[in-house]
Amino acid sequence: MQAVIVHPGAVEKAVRARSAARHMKAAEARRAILPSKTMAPLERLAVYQGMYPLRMRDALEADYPGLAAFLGHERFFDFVLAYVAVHPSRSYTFARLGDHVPEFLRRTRRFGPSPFLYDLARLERAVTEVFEVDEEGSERPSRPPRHVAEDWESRRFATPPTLRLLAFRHAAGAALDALKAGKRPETRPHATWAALHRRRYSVYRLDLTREEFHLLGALAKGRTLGAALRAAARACGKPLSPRAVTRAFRIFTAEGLLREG
Amino acid sequence: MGDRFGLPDLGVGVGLRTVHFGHVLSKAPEVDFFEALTENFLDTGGRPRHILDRVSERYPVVLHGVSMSIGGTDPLDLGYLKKVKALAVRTNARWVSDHLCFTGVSGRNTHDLLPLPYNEETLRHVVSRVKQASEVLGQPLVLENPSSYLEFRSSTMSEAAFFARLLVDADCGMLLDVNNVYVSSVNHGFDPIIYLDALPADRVVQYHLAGHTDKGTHLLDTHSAPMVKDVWKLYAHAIARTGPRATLYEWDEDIPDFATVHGEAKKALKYRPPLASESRVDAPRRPARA
Repeated sequence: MQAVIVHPGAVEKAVRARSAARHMKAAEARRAILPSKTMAPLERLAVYQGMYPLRMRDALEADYPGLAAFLGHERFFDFVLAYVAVHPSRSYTFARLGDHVPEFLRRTRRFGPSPFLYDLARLERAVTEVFEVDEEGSERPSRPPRHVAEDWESRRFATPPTLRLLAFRHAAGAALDALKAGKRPETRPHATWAALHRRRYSVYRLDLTREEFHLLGALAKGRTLGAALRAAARACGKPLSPRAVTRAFRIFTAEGLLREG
Repeated sequence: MGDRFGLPDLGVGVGLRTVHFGHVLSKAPEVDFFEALTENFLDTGGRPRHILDRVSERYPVVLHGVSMSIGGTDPLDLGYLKKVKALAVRTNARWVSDHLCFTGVSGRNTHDLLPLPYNEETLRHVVSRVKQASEVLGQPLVLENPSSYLEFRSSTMSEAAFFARLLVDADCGMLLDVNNVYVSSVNHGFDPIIYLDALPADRVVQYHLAGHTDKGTHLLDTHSAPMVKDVWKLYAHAIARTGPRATLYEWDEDIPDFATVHGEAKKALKYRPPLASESRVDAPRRPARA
């Protein structure tokens, strides 16, 4: 029964497919189900078969609204069928269904510009992850760093447990904003960086410069400010200017991304 | 007509849905109880869990699941059951319910409520699993009759007869969805009154009410509309047999504003008495046993 329900073809084709016939021959399947006054056995089975892909589509669309908007109704539905054929739900919750979407899109060009879709899907997956993350203490108001100049190099900071840092080869954040506004996004490569975090149970995206991304990443790993600045300089190929550091700290503090360590 | 397992009549409630979160928290509407969809709150530490915590502080809550697969052939997912139990404790859920169905095989979840063949072999299988689930949950499992769109030739008894024996043999409760009885009765051609009369009244813990869609060749349980008159008649018949039981209205597609859904739910008060205010205060807040 399950093999027929999850088969993407018509029910007559589905019962004859190898995946179903392995368990029960088509003629036996017809005999196993009683007809009703209005429907033949396989028509009754088709009610379940018809609902399966719609349910999968609704679940994936909830987690990937930008991807769904970019692909459009028909192509997104094709994507859903192809995706769940490879990655069917194996969890009690729909929340896990889309776990493999970014990787799935990275490996195929069938649904559009693969590297762009990969970035877009990674961003949407991360939004869901930050929204769901189970961290009881993460909603506490942050205590901003104190301003003490003399020990700055050895200072460490804590970052919120919901913080996620993402580097993209495309402007994934701007693309998602455009898609939500009903506009076509820019799909050409353009390196961007972003931080996601949660405050009062809402997810926020902060677009970062390359320097800010590496500095915040090093601080999030627990490095001292001095070590973090050196790590960011190495990653960027040049030291961060005092102005860039000041700007970065103003943003991180205002967003509540740094706490006293 | 006593309350099976001592579980209280919670009055008339509404399913807790995302689109109503803001209204429920800000307006604190006078609702007797809420039913939360278990799986939506199991693995989230974000806003849904926060909302459910706030709701369970103010209202009685029951948990209603769709993924236990009590009729399935895969082993019961003990990790899942333990999480359900933890959520029940956290929310002080008055009971935990799921459906008489299977949801998939070989580790796969179709996220549908697939029907079972109703025969002695299936009964033995399901009784054993209900006992196991109740043991892990630390309280009697409550099972809902699903709406169904096909019947198996290998069935040797009606769904109602199967349920009647299951409720006694597995010592569990029933969540009687009268709309599902109606949908299945039309799809399979049986008399819904005979179905209701075959059930042991003292095992019914809760009622579900909902709307369905007529697809021409069959009825589909869509939860997308007001409940039709014929189903209200079934509810009137059933509740006259069982006495007042917790009654909940489900609306899951094209969900209107909260007042409209609550208004539909309150139509049940034509057939059952309102929850007395002292009952509301004194309703036993029994947590799931640790």
